[in-house]
Amino acid sequence: MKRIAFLGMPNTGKSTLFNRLSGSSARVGNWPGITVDLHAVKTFLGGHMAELVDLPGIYDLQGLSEDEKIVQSFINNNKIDLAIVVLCSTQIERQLSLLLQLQKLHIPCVLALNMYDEAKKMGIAIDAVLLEKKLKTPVIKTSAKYGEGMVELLKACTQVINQKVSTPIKKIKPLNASDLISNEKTIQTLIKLTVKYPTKLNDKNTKKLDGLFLDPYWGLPIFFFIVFSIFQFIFTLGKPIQDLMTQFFNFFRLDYLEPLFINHHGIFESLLLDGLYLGVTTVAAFVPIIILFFLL
Amino acid sequence: MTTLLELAEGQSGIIHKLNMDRLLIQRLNAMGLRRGKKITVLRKAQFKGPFHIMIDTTELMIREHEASLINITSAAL
Repeated sequence: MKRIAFLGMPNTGKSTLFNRLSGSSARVGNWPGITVDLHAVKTFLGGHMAELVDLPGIYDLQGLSEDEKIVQSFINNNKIDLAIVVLCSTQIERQLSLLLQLQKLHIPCVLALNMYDEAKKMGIAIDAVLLEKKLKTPVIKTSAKYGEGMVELLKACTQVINQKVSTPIKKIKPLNASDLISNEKTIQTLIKLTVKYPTKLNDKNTKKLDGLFLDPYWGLPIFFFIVFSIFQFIFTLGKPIQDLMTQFFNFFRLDYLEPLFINHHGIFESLLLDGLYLGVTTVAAFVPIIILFFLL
Repeated sequence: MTTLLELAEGQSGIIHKLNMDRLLIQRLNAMGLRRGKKITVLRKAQFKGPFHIMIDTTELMIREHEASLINITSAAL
């Protein structure tokens, strides 16, 4: 059994990539910190049974937060045959440090330049071939959201898994200041060589929407308006369904349940019909609205 | 020497020093705040709310208190 871990900073698409490669459905969302425990799925990869493990996002191997401790103890206590390091391509200049830290531990890595579609849109170009040569680690451009680069990524993972590992994996130890500085220098050299930024970032749409939604005066009214609209929308849609269900429950009670008690009026009938039946159906009538809320 | 606190909306500066404990420095480093980086204040929230800042391609929100711990030197805009 090979153990493959997904590692990366928060909100880089680890879980989306994990779902793609494992065919599972871990919960994903566009904000950091969704994965707070470990998801593991067994799959077949490169001629081996492999256990894919989705880890919470971490900024570096040193941190003291709950998530980071989970990841640290996972790395220290488990033999990792391959780490798929996931980073957000648009922020590559600050996300490579995690990969360097993992390489220092001699963990075999594959680097996924995720959200490459977004980087392309912003006008950022990364020379993956050169980066791969410099890092001595397979580098694959991916877009987990759109399923791009998955075949190449699997191929790279297969290759690394089937390599013979000679150096034993080290445990995490604290970085000192000189480690940090040398990492920083390596990254800056790498970025200069392999990443081309446009003179002006093409992120006009984000800027425009930010300007609108984060306006000091209009921001809150717009926020309340949107929340209110969602509420109204759900109730306009859900109320008729709820009414229909209430009608049905009433009809069922009058035509089918009450006749059953025709000879046993009293406290027993009241308990079953006014208590149990009415209670359960009142709640059940809300189910359509709850489902609508969930779907949105 | 000024701190990030003194920058107006839309102004930029160069990070000179992060005046805080090691762990917070490490975290901010990982988020892209490092010595020598250009930092831009995109907007400040009302009522002493958070600062919306940008370093390279990364946008962040930080509290006023943390902003006051970031020393900057002025930069050409």
